[in-house]
Amino acid sequence: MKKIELVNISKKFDNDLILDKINLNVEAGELVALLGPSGCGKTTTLKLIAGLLGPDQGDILFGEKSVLNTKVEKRSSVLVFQDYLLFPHMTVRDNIAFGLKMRGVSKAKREAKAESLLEMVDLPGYSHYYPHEISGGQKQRVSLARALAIDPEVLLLDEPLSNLDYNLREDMQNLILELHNKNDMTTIFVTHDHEEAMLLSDKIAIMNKGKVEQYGSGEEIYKKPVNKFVADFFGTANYIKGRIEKGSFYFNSTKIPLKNQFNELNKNEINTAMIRPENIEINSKVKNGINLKAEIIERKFIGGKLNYRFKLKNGHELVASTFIEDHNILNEECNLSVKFENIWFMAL
Amino acid sequence: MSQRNSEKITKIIQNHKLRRFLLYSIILIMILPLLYLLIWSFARRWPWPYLLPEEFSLDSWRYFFNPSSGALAALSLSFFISLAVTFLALCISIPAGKALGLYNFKGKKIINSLVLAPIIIPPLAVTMGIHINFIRLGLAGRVIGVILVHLIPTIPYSIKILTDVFAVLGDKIEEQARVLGANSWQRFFYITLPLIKSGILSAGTMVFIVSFSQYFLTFLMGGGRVVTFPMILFPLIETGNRPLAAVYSWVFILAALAFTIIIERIFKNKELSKEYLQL
Amino acid sequence: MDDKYEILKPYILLLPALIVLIVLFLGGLVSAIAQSLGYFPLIGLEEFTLNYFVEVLTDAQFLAALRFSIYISLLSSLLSVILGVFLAYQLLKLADDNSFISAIYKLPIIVPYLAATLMVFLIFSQSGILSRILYNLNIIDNMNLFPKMVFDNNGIGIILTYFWKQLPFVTLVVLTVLKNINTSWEEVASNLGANGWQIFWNIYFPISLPSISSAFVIIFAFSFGAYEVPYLLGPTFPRALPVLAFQRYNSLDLSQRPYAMVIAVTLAAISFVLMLIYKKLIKISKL
Repeated sequence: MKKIELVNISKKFDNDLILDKINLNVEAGELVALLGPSGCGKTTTLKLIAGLLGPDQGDILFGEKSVLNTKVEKRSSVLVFQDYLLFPHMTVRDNIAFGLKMRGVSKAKREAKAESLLEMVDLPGYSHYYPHEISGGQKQRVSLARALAIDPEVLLLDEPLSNLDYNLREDMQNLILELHNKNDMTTIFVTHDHEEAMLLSDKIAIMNKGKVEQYGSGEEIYKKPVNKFVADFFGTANYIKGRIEKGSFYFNSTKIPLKNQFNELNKNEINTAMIRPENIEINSKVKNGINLKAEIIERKFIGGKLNYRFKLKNGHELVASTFIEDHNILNEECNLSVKFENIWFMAL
Repeated sequence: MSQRNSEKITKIIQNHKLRRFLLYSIILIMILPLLYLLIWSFARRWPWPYLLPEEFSLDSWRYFFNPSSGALAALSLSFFISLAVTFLALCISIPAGKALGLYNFKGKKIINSLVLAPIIIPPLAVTMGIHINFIRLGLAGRVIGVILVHLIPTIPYSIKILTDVFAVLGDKIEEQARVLGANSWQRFFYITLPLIKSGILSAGTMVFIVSFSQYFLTFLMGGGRVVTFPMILFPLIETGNRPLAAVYSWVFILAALAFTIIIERIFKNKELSKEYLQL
Repeated sequence: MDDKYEILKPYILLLPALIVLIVLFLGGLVSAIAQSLGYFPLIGLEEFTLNYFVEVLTDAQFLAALRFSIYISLLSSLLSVILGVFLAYQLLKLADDNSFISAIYKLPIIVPYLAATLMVFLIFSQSGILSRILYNLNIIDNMNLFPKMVFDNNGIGIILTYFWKQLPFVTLVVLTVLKNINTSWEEVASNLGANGWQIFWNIYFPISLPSISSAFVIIFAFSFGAYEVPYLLGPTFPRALPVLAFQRYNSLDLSQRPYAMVIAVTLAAISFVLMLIYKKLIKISKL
C-alpha cells in the first residue's frame, strides 16, 4: 500500500500538450477514478504512473520516493489494459502465473497462487483453458487475477468495465471493490462514465484538456462543480444568468442570498446559478428558497422517472425530474420551487 | 414464380459446375508438367515421336545417388547455404520488422523503400557491381561470399512479412508483460517470439525457397567453386541430358517441398496458430 | 530517463538490416554505376566518362535486347496478372473451402525456375510432348513442322516459363486480399441490383487493385532482370538484357567490363523508374 503523488506532471506528444502540470495526491489504500472525455489525458496519466511513458516535466512519488528512475518492470504497480491483453499462447493459469515466473518464483508456488486467485475471481476450474476459449467477462477476471498475482502495491485499471455487457458490469464492479479491499492496494482506474466513477471510487479526479479540473468525492463534485464542464459531465443542469448586488444574487427580481454555495471565487465574479433537475420541486412552496411560476411544455416518462421541461414567464426554460406522477400539473401553470441550499453558483 | 426460381437454381448450379471445370483444368495445367517430368526421369530411350519411353530404367536415379556424381554433396551444400541464409536473414529481419511495424521515426519512408528496392532492382546488376569488391576482400569463390550475396534478394521478403506481423501484433501486449515485471529478454522469449512464430515460419520458408533456387548469384559469386545443386542442374539442362535433368529437377522440387512441409508440421501448433493474432 | 534510448531504438533495431542493404545492395549499385562510368582502376581506367553509355545505348544489339526483354516481361506479366486475378476470383467464389485445390495451385511457387525451364523445354520444344501428340493425331508428320516455341525469336518458351511460375504467385497475392474483403459489401451491392460481373468490377477489383499492381511490378521486375530462363530457352539473337550483360561481363577481355555495367545499370534504372511509376499510381488511386 503506497501513497501516490503526481507533482507538476507535463507530457507532450510531438507538439501536443497532453498533460499540463498535473497535480494529484492519492492516499494509500484509496480507490480513485480518473474521469474525463476521450483525449483528456487520463490514459496517459495511467501509463505515466505505470512507467510505460516518462514525463517531460514533474515528478511521480510512490510513498515518499520518486519512481522516475525505476523501470516499469521494477515498479510495484501493475496496469490492466482495457482490452485485457491475455497472452493468447498461454493457458489461463500460465497467464496468471506469468508475473511470478518473471520474478523466479518456483513452478509449484506460482501455480498454487494462480489457482487461489482463480477462486478469488470466481473462475475455479478454468486453469487449463486458453484465452480464446473464454468469454469477455471471464477474460477480464483473468486479467485482474494476473495483475493481483504479483501483489502490487498500486493497481492501475484502464476502462475496466467499458468492454463488458451491461449485465456483467455490476458483478465486475463488486469484484473490483472486493479485490481492492481485500488486497491492501492503492487503486487508480480510468473511465469516461461518471456513474461508474461514482459507484466504484472513494475520490474522482475529473480531467479535461490535460488538466485536473476538480478532485474530490463524487457527491462533492456532483453538487459543487467548479465549472460548467464538470457540472455537465456529471449530468444535466439548469443555468440561470444573474448578477451580484449587495451580497446577493439576483435574476430578474428574484433574490437569492449568497452563503457558501460557491467555490473559492471572488464573489463579484459570480454570474450564474446552477440547479440540478431533481432539486426543482413542483407545486410545493418552500420557505428558504425561490418560488417561480412556470408552464409545462414537455413531459416524458423514462422508466422510474418523469422528465419535465418548463418555461418561465421570461421565456427561460428549465428541466426538472421527479419520481412521482402528478396528474394535476399537466398542461397547467404551476409553481416551481428550489431550496437555497440546492442552488450552486459559478462564474461562466 | 416457382419455375423461375428453379430456373435460377439450375443456372447457379451450371455456373458452379463451369467454375469447377475451369478451375480444375487450370490447376491440371499447373500439375501435369510435373508428372510428365517424372516420367522422363525414368526413361532410358524416348525418341520422337513416342508418347511413352521405349525403355524405362532407374539409371538416372542410380546415377544421382552415386556419390561420384556429386549430386548429394551439392544438395547438402545447398541445404547448408540456404539454412545459413535463412538464419541470418531472420536475425536481421526480426528486429527490423519490429522497428518498421511498431515505431514511427524519421526516415521510415526512405528505409521502407530501401528495404523493398532489391525486389524491384535486379540483384543481377547489384551483384555484378559488388563482385569486384568481394574478390578484393577474398569473399568471392567461397561459401561465405555466396551466403552474403543471397541476403540481397531474400531479406526484402522476410522484413516485409515480419513488419506486417508486428504491425498486427502491436506493442500493447509487450507493455502488458512489462508491467507484470518481464524484462526485455523475458518479453522477447516468452511473449514476442511465441506470438510471431507463424510469421517467422512464413518468412523463413520464403527466404529458404528463394535462396535454395538461386542460380545466377551463386554462379557469379561462387565462381564455379561453390557447387550448389542448381550449379549441377544448369549444365544438364543446357546440354539436353533429359532423363538426368528430370531426376535432378524432381529432387530439387521434392527437397524444397519437403522443407516447407516439414517446417510447417514441426513448428506449427495448429490449434493455436489461428487464434494468435486475433487476441 | 531512457527517452534517449527510445528515440534511437528503431534505428538500433534496423542496424543489421541497414548494414546489409547499404553495404551489399547500395554498395553494389554504386560500384556498378562507377564502373559503367568508366571507373575501373584494375585495368587503369580512372576517369569518369559517359562514353560507354553513349556507345551502348546506340548499339543495335543492345536496343534489340532491350526491346526483347521488355516484350518478354511485359507479355508474361500481363498474362499472369489477368489470369491470376480471374483464378483468384474463381477460387474465392468456390464457396466450400477446397483445401486440395488451394494447396495444389500453389505448387509452382516453390518449383525452382530451372526445373520449370526444363519442363517447358520438354513440352514445347520441337521434339517435345506436344509435337509428339500432334504426330500421333496425324496432324504433323515431321517434328520440324511443329512451330518453334523454344529458342525462338518470339521468346514463347521464356514467356510460358514465367507465366507458369508467376500465375500462382499472382493468384495467391490477390486471393489473400480478396478473402479479406468484407462480404457484406457484396451483399449491399447485390441488394442494390448489381450482378456477379458488376460486383467484381465495382467492388472486388478496385479494392484489390493496389495488390494486383504491386504483384505486377514484382513479377515484371523479376522477369526483366533474370538470367537463367532467357539464357536456357532464348534465341541467340536477340538476347535478353541480363544475358547480354553477363556475356560482356564474363568476357576475358576486361575492357568489356564497363559495357557490361552500362547494361546492368540500364536494367536497374528501368526497374527503378517502374517502381516510381508504380508508387505514383498507388498515390493517385488513393486520392
